[in-house]
Amino acid sequence: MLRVLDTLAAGVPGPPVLTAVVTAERVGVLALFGYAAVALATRRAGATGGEAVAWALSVLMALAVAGWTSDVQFLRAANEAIGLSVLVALSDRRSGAGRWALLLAAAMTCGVALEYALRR
Amino acid sequence: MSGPLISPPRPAVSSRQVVLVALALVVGFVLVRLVLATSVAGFTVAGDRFVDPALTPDRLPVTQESGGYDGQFVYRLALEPWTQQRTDYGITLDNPAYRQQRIATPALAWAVGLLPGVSTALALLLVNVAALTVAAAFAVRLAVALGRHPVAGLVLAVPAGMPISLGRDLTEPVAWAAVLAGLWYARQQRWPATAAGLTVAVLARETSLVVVAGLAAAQLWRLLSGDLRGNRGALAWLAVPAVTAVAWQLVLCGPGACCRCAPAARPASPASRCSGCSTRWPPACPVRPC
Repeated sequence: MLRVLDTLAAGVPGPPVLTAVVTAERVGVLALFGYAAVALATRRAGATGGEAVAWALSVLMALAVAGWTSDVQFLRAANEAIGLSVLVALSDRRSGAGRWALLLAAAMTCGVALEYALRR
Repeated sequence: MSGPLISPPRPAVSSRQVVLVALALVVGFVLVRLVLATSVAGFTVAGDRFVDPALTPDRLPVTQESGGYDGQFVYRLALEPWTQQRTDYGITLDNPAYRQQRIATPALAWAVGLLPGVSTALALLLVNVAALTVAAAFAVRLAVALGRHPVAGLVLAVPAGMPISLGRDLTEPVAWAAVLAGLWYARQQRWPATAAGLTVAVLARETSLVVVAGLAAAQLWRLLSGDLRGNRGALAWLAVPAVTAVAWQLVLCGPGACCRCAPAARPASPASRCSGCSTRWPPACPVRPC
């Protein structure tokens, strides 16, 4: 996990705008994980016990990689964790944070889709 | 006696319409990529270190002095999923056992590629588009069941990394669609269907095992704590994807995989692993000719 945090602001090859976008993605993913952790810990989320354990395992897996080196690498490694965090947000209807988490996840998907629609 | 005058409120957009919107968005992404970035075969992101375009069935655009990306190996396996050859069709598998553990997407693409007029490159793309549509169908169901508008399910269907996977012929779309199916059926307590979905998921991408482990751990906890909602049948069904994944790993990396360690890949020192293969050399089983 320390290596993930260490690489959080590490640059990626390409123009500065790409570095900024990928860094924002990394911070966004960590924010999504943080939100889901709080929603599950405070029992705001209506996720089942199995979904909660799966979420925890998937986040551990995403944070256990050697580093978040590029969006291609870390977003793929974090796929299950991001998806299950979105499921937690969907099940959290008792706070506005769930809606904000969904908006954050949607924005990240749109950003990546825009990037990869154009990138070889 | 007539029915109630006031019908229950219904969302302005039906779940089916949202799934169609998801399909339109996915197809739109593919079309934009085809117009602005690359060809259908270019989705494999092939590099010349592993791919010789003169020998591939589809004319893959190959980047020079590049290792390419994972989609080139998915494409190779989609040509022949059960191959025991490290190099064939102009493509060399960098790590055959590692690549073949994610066999579901190549196998589905291989099947679709049997249709007349469908190339393997197109088949891979069609499989991933279909997978994301299936993912949307289950994600919309989950969103509605959780009290959300069906449109919110689109965020669940397409996590942030998914456009990369769709744009590069990777294995995540099939795995995620199968995970969402498994989660939906688990909520319905339909354990055989859950097991079927999660078995496809772990064969598409072994990391899906975290979902199997999570669901199984929760069931086990309920059983141990005397919660009547837990049941042994659920645990038995959840063992199916786990056992399948382990069995497939044994096929790929166990004694039966000795033949994949070609003479050129054998290590110099005894008991080391072969190059590009997890088999130890000398192997404990007879070496079959490849």
